Amino acid sequence: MSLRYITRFAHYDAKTVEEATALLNKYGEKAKPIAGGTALMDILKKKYLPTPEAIVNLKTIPGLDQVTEDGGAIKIGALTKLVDLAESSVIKSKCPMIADAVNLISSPQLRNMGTVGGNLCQQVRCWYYVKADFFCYRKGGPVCYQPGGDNRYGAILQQKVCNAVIASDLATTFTALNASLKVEGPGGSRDVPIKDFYVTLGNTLKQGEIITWITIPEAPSKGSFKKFKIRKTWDFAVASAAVATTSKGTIAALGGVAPVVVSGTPDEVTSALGSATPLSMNKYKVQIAKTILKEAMA
Amino acid sequence: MGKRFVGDLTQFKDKMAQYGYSGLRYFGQRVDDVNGPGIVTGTIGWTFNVSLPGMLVGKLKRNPYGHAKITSIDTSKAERISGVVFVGTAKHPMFAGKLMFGDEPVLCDKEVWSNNDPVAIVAAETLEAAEDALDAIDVKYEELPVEMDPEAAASPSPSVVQKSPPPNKQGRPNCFTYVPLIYGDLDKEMAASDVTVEMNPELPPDPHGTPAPMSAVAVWNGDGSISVWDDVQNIHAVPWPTVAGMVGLAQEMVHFHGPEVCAGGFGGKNAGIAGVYAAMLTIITHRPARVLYDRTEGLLHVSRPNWKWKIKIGAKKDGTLTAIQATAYIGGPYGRFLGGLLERARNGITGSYRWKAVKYDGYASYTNAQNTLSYRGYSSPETCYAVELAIDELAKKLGMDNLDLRLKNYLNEGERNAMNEIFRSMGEPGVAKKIREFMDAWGPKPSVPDPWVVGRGFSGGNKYTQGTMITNTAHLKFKGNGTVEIITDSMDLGTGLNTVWRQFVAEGLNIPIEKTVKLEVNTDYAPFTTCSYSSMATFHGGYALVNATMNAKKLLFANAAPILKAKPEDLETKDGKIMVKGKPEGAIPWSQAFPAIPGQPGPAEELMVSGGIYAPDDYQGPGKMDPATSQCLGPYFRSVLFHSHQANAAEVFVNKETGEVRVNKWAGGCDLIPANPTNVEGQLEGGSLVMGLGTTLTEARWQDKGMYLGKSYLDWKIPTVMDIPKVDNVDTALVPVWGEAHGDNPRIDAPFGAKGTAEGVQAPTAPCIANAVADAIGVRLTTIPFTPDVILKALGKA
Ligand SMILES: Cc1cc2nc3c(=O)[nH]c(=O)nc-3n(C[C@H](O)[C@H](O)[C@H](O)COP(=O)(O)OP(=O)(O)OC[C@H]3O[C@@H](n4cnc5c(N)ncnc54)[C@H](O)[C@@H]3O)c2cc1C
Ligand code: SF4
Repeated sequence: MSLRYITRFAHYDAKTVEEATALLNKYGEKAKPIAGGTALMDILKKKYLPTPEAIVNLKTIPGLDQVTEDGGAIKIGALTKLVDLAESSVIKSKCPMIADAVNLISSPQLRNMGTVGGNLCQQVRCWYYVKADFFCYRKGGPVCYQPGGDNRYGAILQQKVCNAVIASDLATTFTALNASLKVEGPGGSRDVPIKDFYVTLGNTLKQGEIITWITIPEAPSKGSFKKFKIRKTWDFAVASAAVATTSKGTIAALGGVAPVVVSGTPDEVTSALGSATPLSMNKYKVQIAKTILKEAMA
Repeated sequence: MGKRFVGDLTQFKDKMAQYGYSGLRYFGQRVDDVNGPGIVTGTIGWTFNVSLPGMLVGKLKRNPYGHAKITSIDTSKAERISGVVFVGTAKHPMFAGKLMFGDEPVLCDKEVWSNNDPVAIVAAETLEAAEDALDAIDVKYEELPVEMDPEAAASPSPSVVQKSPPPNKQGRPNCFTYVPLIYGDLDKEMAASDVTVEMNPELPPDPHGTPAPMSAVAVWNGDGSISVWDDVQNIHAVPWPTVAGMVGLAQEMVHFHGPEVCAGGFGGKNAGIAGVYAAMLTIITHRPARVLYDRTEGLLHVSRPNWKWKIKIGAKKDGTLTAIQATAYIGGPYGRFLGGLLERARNGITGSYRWKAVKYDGYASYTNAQNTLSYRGYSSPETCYAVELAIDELAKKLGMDNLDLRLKNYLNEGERNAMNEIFRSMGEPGVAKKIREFMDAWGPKPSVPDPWVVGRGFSGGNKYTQGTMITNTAHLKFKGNGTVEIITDSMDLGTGLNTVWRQFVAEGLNIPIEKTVKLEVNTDYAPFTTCSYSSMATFHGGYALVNATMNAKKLLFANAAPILKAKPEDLETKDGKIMVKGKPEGAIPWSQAFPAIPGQPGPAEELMVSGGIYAPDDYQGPGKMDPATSQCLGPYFRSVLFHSHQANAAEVFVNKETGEVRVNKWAGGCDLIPANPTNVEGQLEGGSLVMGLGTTLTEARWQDKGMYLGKSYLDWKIPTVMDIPKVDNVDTALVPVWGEAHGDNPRIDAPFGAKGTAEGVQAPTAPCIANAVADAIGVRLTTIPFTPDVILKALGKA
C-alpha cells in the first residue's frame, strides 16, 4: 500500500516508432520510454534516479506485440508482454527454453504487464543502487559500495567500476540464442547482436533509440534455461544459465554473475567461471553458477 | 490434505454439559471466521479505512544512517511548499519528549541511533505536498561509528558507548538490563555430567512484516478531547496511556478506538506509536490527521532484536539432563521491551525440561540495530532455538533417540521447575509423541537424486503465558430480543478472536453464535480486558467472558425462579429461554427475568452483566521472586500463568551443490483444548510453518554500517506459496491437555480448558528445521537464516 508520491512529468502516447523516437530525441537524457512500466514505476516511486521530464508510452504503437516465424528465424516484437511470449505457440513449439525462462521471471502479475523490451532494458537491482540514500558510481557518484559493504548478491566476474549484476533473464536467454536486436532511432534503424548490446554501466542505446524487434536467427535443436534464486517466485537470479545448440554450434550464457551477460562456448564460459573473482561475501555464487551451468548443458 | 488430528473431546463434552454449558454445541467447533468475508473484501473496519473530511497527511522524515550526529535541520524550504500546513522538529515542545521507556526521542535533534529514526514531521493537505516537504527538509549529519553486535556492545569496554550517561549495568557501559537465573550447583552438576554439548546459536533481527504497516487517525474535538483510531493489538495496556501521556491529556480526554481487526500484529503493533504522532498533529493543527507508514517504514520501524546465545548443557549416560548454562545477548537502539525479553527467556529455559542446575545471564545493551518491539513469542522461539539445538546434539552424542531423551526429561504436571514454580498444563509429552507418530508414518526417508540429500528433524517447544496485567473485565449486554453484545478490549489480529469470543459466550449461555455480537473496542465503554499479546487473549478474555455468563445466569435464574416456581439451581437456559431443567414446555424468555427498574412495573429493556478478574490464588501469591536468582519464593508463587507446548517435525531436501533447502514435509502440533480447531490449524500452518520457515531459511536484515539494505519485500525474502510444502505434506495435531496430562484441572470452567496458541507455535519451527538440515548435511549450523551461502560454506564449497 505504498502511496509514494510521484514527481510530475509530461506523458506522451506515441502512435508510431518515429513519433516515439522523435520525442525521446527531443528531450534527450530527460526522457524515458515506458512499456509495461513495472520496472520504471519503481524508479519513479523510490526516486533513486532522477524522475524524467517526459515519459513516452510505447504501448500505443501498434504491431510491436507479435511473435512470428520468418523462415527459420523467430521474430519477437519488443512490446510483447512476457505472458504472451511464454504462451506463444511459436515459442512453445520452436523454442520452449524462452517460455521456461519467462515463467521464472518475477510473478504472474508482473508478467501480465511487463514487456520483452522493458525486460531487456531494465536497470540493475543492486541494493545500494535502488536506494536514494546511496549515490554510487553507477549513478555518477564517487564510489561503488559493494566491495566494502554487503556484496552477497554482487558480481563474481568482469567487475570493473561496478559490481552489480545484469537482472534480465531474457538477456541471458537471448544471448545463448544469438539474438539480434532491431534498434530504431532518429538516425534510422540498426541491428545490434545482443552480445554487443550490454556494457558495464548499461546498454549501447543512443539518444532517442528504442528496441523494436528481437530476432532469433535459428531455433535451437537443443536449448535450456536454468535459474537459481533464493525464493521460488518473485525473485531475481543469484545466477542463471542458458545454453542453446544450433547448426552454428553451442552458446552458453550466464546471467546474474556480472554486470553484463557472460557468454561463449560452453568451454569458454566454464573456464571463465574457473577464474572467477568473487567479492568478500559471494564465493558461493561461483559454486551455484557452476552447478546450474552444468545443469543447463546436460 | 495431510493429517488433521484433533484430540477426542467426548469426556470434556459431557463435563461441559454437566456444568450447565451447551456441551460443546459452540465451543470446540469449526465455526467460520465471522470476519472472513469482510477481510477478503476489504470492508472490515481496518484502521487505514478510517477517513475524516479535511484530514491532513502526516509523514515523518527519517534518518538514513545507522548512527549519526545531527549537525543541522533546516525546514524553511519545506514550510513554504504549497499545501504544507505544519512542519515540526524536536524544537517544538510537542515533539521534545521521549517515548516508551524514556530513552527514545519523539523526534531526534542531536543524535540518531538507528536507521529510520524520525527527525522531523510534516502535516500537509495531500500526500504529494507532504512528500515534497520531506524532500525539502535539509538535515545534515555527521556519521558516527556503529555497533551492531549485542555481545560486543555488552563488553565492559565497548568500542562505542551509545548513551550519556551510560546505563552501565554489571559494569558494562551499554548494558541497560541484566537478568540472572541461578538454580542448583552448576559447577557440580556439569562436572558430574557424562556428556556435554556447547554451542553459540544466533538469530539475527527479523521484522514483523505485518500485512499492513502501522496507521492511525486522530481528530481534535471541540471540547479539548481527541479521538484516536490506531491499528493496535490492544488499547488499554500501552497505546492509550502512551498517547495520552505524550500529548499531556488525561486519559479520559483521549477517546481511543481499536480496529475491528488489527491488520497483522505479531507483537509489532503493541505500542501504537503512529497514534502518538497523529494525536500530536491534530492537537497542533486542530484538523484531523492521519499517519500511515509506507511499506519501507513498515519493515523498518520494528523487528525482533539480534539474539546471540552461548549455551552448554550436560547429561548423564542414561540421558538424564543435569545442567544448563546459557548466556543471552540482545540489543537495540532503545530499551523498548528488551528487558522483558530477557526475563521471559528464563521461562523458555525452564518451561520444558527438568534441570538439576541452571545458570542463565541475559544482557540487553544499546546497539545501532533496527528498533525493536515484542515479536511473536517474545523470547520463546529464540530461547527454544538455543535449547532444542543443544538437546538434538546431546541425543546424538548419547546415541539416544531424541524423542526418548526428551520424554525422559520433560517436567511432570504439578512438579516444581528450575524457577521453583509449580508446573501447570503440561502437554508436551503428548504433543511430542503425536508429532513423532506423524513423522514415523511418513515412512523411510525417500531416495532423492544426487546432489540432493534428505534430512529429518524434530523439536519440542514451549511458550509461557504471562499473568501480569490480568485484571480483566468483560461486559455482556443482554438485549430484549435475545441478542448478547460483547464488550471487551483485545483485538482480533486476523487470528479469529472475534469468532472465538462469540463461541465462549454462545457456549456459556447456550445460544447460537449468531445471537452474539462483539462491539467496537474503544476506551469509551470497553473495560480493561487483557490484551492480544503473550498468547493470552483467549485464556484471560475467555475467562472474563465465561465468568460474565456465569454471573448473568445467576442473576437471571434468581429472577426467573419465582416465575417458574422452581429453585434457581433447578433452572437451565437454552436459546435465550429459561426453563426448569429438562422441561422446555414452560420456558420463559430471558427478557422476562431482566431485573426491574426500581419504581417501574415490568423488567428493564436491557441487562448489563460484567465478569472477569482472574486472580487464581496460586498465581503470584503469596510470595515473590528473588531478583538475584529468579527463584520463585513462596508456596504457590509463579512467574507465569501456564505454559503451552508444541512440537514440530520436518523433512528437508538440501542440494549440496547449490545450498538450496526445501522443506518437503512438515508436522506441527500444540497442547490445548481448541476453542476452534480451524483457527488453531491456521496458526500452525501460518504461524509455525510459514513464518517459522521464513525466519529459518530466507528472511534476514542485511545491513551495511547500520543502514538496512532489505527495505522492500523483494530483498526481505518472506516465503511465498511456492516456498512451502504442498498441503498434502502438512500434518497438524491439536492434543488436549485435559485428562491424562492435566489431571483434574480445577479451572475446567475457566475458560473451558482453552489456552493461547498464537505465538508458541513458532517456538519449535526454527530448531526443527535446523535439526533436519544438520541431519541432511551432517554439519551443525547454528546461525539462521540458512541461505545458500551458509549451507555451501558449511560444506566447504564457498
Ligand atoms: C518484483 C520484481 C521482480 C522481478 N523479477 C525479475 C526476474 O526474476 N527476472 C527478470 O528478468 N526480470 C524481473 N523483473 C523485471 C521485470 O521482468 C521487468 O519489470 C519487466 O520485464 C519490464 O518490462 P516493462 O515493460 O514493464 O518495462 P518498463 O518498466 O516499461 O521499462 C523498463 C525500462 O526499459 C525501458 N524500455 C522499455 N521498453 C523499451 C524499449 N522497447 N526500448 C528501449 N527501452 C525500453 C524503460 O525506459 C525503462 O527504463 C522483476 C521486476 C519486479 C518489479
Ligand atoms: S555495484 Fe554498481 S550499482 Fe551497486 S553500488 Fe556499486 S556502482 Fe552502484
